[in-house]
Amino acid sequence: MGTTATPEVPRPCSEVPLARYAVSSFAYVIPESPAPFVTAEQPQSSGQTFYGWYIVGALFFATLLVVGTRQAFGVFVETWEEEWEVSVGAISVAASVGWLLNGISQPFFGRMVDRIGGRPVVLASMTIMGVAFIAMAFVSNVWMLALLYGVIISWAAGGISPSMTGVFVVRWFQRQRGTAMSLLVSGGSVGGLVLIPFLTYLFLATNWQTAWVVAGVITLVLGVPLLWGIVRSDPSDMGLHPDGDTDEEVAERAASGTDAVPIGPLDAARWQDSYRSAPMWQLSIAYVVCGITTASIAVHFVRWAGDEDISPGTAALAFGLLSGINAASVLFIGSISDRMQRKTLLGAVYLIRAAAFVALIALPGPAALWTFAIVGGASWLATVPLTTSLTADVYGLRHIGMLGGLTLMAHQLGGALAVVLFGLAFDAWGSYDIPFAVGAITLVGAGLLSLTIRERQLSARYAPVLRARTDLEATPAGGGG
Amino acid sequence: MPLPRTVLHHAESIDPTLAEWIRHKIDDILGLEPGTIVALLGIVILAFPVWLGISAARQRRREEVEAP
Repeated sequence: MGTTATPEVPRPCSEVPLARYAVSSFAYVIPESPAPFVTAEQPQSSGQTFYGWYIVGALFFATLLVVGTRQAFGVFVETWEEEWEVSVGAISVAASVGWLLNGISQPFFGRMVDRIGGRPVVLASMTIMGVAFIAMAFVSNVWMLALLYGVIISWAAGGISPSMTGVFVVRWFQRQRGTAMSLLVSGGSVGGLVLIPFLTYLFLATNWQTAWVVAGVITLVLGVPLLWGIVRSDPSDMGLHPDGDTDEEVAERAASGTDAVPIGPLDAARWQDSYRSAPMWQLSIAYVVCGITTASIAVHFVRWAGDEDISPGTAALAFGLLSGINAASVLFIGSISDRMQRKTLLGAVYLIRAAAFVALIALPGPAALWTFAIVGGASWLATVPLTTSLTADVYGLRHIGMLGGLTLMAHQLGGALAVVLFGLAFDAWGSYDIPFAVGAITLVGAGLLSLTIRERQLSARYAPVLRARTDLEATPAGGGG
Repeated sequence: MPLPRTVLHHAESIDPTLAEWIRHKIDDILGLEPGTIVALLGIVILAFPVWLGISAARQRRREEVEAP
C-alpha cells in the first residue's frame, strides 16, 4: 500500500453493502460526475498508432505460435501410435496431464505477473516453449512425451494463456479493453488456421521431428525477439498513458478533480479479499460452467455424433465450422463490449450456448449437429475477453494476474472433471441426453449469474473510483518491465 | 479417456479426424505439393512479425525524435 493512505482491514462483505465496501476500505476520491476517461472515445492527438496496439500485435503472434503448435499435437498422434507401438489411450495420458498442469499453472503465473510484471513471464515462457518444441524431436517413447509435452510445454504455456497476456491488455487499455482482448484471443483461432496446416504439410514433406524443430526455431527466432523488442508490462514503462492519452489530457483530468487515476471499485489490498465480494464468485462460477460445457463437448462430440449415426468426418467438419464461427464472434462481441455493459453480453453468451445444448437434445441428429455448430460457435470463445475485461473493470489491476489465473484454473479443472463425468454418464445411461440437459441447466445458471452482476455500480467504466496517483505508484503490483 | 480427440478450444489438440479432413480438402482445392504449401504458409508466418517489428521500431524512433 502507499504512503498516503493506509487501509483498514476490510470488513467481511456480509457486513457491508458491496458498493460501500470498496469506499469504506480505502482512502478513495470519488468524482462527483461520471469519469471523463470512460465516457467517450478520445481521439489520438498525435495521429500515430497507439503503442498498445503493437503490444497486442506481438502478444497475438505469441498466442498464435503457442496455441497453434499445441493444437497440432493431434496431427502426430497416429504416427506416434505406429512408431512407438502404443495405444491412443497411452498418448492421452500426456494430453490429460498437460490439460491439468496447464490449469494448475495459472495462479502461479498470475502471482508472478502481479509481482514482477508480465514481460519477464511471457519472455521466459516463450523461451522455454521454443526449446521444448525442439526437444520434442528427440522424444522416443510415451513417457518422454508425457514429461516434455504434458509437464514442461503445458506448464510453460500457462505463461502465454489469455489470463496472463490479458494482463497487458487491461494495463494498456481502458476504453478499448474488450476490442483489444478479443484481438488477442483471436490469435489462438488464427494459430489453428495457420500453424496446423503448416505443421501438417511440413510433416508430410519431411517427418514429425522436423516439424517440431521448425516450430521451436520459429518460436525462438521470431516469437521471443518480437516480445523482447516490443512488449512492455505497463504504459508507464515507456512514459505513456493507457489508451494513448497525452500528458495534457491526463493533466486536464487531474485539474478537474485531483491527481488521481482510476482503479476498480472493488480493488482490494489482498487478492483473497476479492473473494469476499459477489462479482468474483459470479464470474468464477460462470467460468467453471464455461469449462464444463466446452471441454465436455470437445471430447465427447465425435462420440455423440457416432451415437446419432453421423460419421466422424461430418462431426469433425461441424466442429471445424464451430471453430471458424467462434473466431468471428469473439472479435464482434469483444468490440461491442466496449460500447455496452459487458455482463449483458456475457449473460447472453451463456444463454446462447444453453440453447445450443438444448438443440442437441431436442433436434434430430444432423439438425442438432449443424445447429450446435452455428449457435454454439457464436458463444465458444467469447467468454474469455468478457470475463477478463469485466474482472479488471471491477477489481482493478493490482491482482488481475492472480484473479485471472484462478478463474482460468477453475475453468480448466471443471472442464477436466466434466469430461470424465460425461463419459461415465454415457456409460451408465447409453445416451448423452442427461449430461447435455445438465449442461444446459448450468449454462442458464451461468447466464443468470452473469446478468445479475451489478456492473453499473461496481465497474470502473460506470462507477469509477479514483485513487491518489502517489498512493498508486507506491503499490508494488504490476511493476517491472 | 480420448483427450487428444479435442478440438480448437483454447490450446487443446486438434481432432485427428478434423486434421485429416482439412488436409484432404486443401489437397482437393489447391492441388499443391506439400513443400509449396509449407513455403506459402511460411511466408505468412514470417511476414507478420517482421512487419510488426519494423513498424514498432519506426514509431519508437519517430517518438524519440519528436520528444523534447
